Amino acid sequence: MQLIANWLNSFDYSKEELAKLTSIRDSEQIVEDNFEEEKNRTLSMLPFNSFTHKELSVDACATNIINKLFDKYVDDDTLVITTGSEHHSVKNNFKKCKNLIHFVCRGEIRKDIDIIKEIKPFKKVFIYMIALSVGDTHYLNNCIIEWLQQILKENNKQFVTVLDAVQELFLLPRDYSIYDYVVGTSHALIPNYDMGMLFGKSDFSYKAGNWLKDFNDCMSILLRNRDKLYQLNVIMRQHFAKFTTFDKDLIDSSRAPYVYNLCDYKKRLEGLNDVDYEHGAIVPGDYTPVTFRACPFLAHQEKFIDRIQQIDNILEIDIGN
Amino acid sequence: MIESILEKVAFNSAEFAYYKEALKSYNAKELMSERDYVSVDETLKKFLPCQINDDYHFTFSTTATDLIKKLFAKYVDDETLVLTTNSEHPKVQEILKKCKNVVKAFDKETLQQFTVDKKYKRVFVYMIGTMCATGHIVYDQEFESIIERAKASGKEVITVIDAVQELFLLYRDYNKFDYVIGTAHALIPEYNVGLLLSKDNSIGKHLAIAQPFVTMLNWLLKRKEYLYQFNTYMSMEFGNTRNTQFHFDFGISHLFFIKTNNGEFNQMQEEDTVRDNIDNVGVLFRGCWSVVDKNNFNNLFQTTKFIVDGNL
Repeated sequence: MQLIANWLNSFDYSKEELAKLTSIRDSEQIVEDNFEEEKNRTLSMLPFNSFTHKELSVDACATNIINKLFDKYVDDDTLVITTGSEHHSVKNNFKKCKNLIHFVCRGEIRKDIDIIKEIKPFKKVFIYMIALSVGDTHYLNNCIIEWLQQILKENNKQFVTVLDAVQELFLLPRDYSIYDYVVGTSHALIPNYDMGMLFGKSDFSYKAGNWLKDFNDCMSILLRNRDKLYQLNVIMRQHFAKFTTFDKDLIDSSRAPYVYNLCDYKKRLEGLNDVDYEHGAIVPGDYTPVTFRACPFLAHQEKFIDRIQQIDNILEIDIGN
Repeated sequence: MIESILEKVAFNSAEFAYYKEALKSYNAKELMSERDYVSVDETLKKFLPCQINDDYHFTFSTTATDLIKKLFAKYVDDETLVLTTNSEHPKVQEILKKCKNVVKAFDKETLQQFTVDKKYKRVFVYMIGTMCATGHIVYDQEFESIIERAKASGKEVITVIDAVQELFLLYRDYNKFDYVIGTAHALIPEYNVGLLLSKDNSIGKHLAIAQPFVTMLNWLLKRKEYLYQFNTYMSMEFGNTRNTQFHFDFGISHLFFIKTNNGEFNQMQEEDTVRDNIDNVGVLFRGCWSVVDKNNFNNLFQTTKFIVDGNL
């Protein structure tokens, strides 16, 4: 635990700044003043971003934006192409979709799907894919999208491409110019601050300059130590190595340096189920993955330390040290 | 993508010129003044991501291999048990061949069963911290387990971590080790200065060539965010998942190693390829090297890309 404590101490935030990282969006009111200025501030925080259309709008939460996108683009004549790793709020939209295929599972193209055959009956295709899933090892490579888009063009299909970048935005670099829309959420970064973000060619959400200013103020504090956020995975792997070294049913995995996943194939950690998403997400499956993300960890340090101690206790009893 | 990003983050012309000038004298053996040494030592310690105790200091040699040889000479004799891994650098493996008692303790079974025989007077633990060819990082807990078992035997235990692939970039508590080995050339290409972090002032020297290294390291670490995103950039460049012949992993943020066991990289120059512990031959890309010498990096990148894309 000492290494984790040292890491937390290495952030040079004042008490006031740490408090800011747990702030909430306290206004429903939308003030459009300064939106352009704040939008440019937001765009400048993306690592080496390359949006061709520098449009941004915001909403009360990302789910609202996702719902609006599905409402706008998906009808019974549309084929939805997606992944097997989407967030549950996206899956709720899938229930309403007549034609849907999971083309990508955990970052890999499914071999049993013949995409040309699948798209043939449809004029319109709606691609919605998550960029990085923290609960499994899914990481979407742009070349999958580029390849898919090329096939759709060659077959004269109309298509819209949406990237769900909520777990990577501002932290992992990516060329976003190949997407029509990129969805983000503030609460993956500032855990108590709810605001959905939509980067894209048309805007059908709000231009709330006041919300964006609050978010940008928080982000400028958070990203001052972006390099330290990238150490989370290494630190957590070191902490849990006392178990993972000896237990083949415990695997640590992640595709991002600011995320740590501990996958328990014996499901000993399922007792920790009733936790909210920010404090070590647990998603049931063939294994129990416990996920830690650097930004929520930083904002709610005591809760995360407590979570780690709980896991230590459970695994100590089962396999010892 | 990576080439356009390097236009923004790579050493500028003045920094690059300084680097090329520094390369001319990297193996000089002049010593620096005590005042300069204190400054160099303090600066390097500040560059470590995890705080180090005041009684640890950096000393230097013209190569890391020289430091490693001196450590083995000081501590390893026929009554010493050497604990190490299967994944050490070839130059370390050469040294290990001359040691009488060696246990490669990295696998889990050996770790669990490991005990020290009475006949040994000392245990010398020499282990690599970060393995670029496998993407594996050896964690403190794994080291601790080995060190605890060695110490439980009541013998003298000396611990060395070979941190050449991680020093200044990976968060690790080096206070747990007697010696930390590093090399400047893992960060600054061709600048073969060996680094030793320890409480022992008798192995390395206060070489003046450490000063340009500190200057260049300072420039490099200002690009730390890019270095930690390097693996992601490269994964994007090589991440065509339809091509199953080539493999890479997400283990170390500042390194990217693409490998295959089909022999495609055998046509490359031998010094550009690395072999892992299985049958894979791969190409190692270092984020640090891409910053310092973007042209060299781009050449290697283009050659590798040509081979990988040609096999689609």
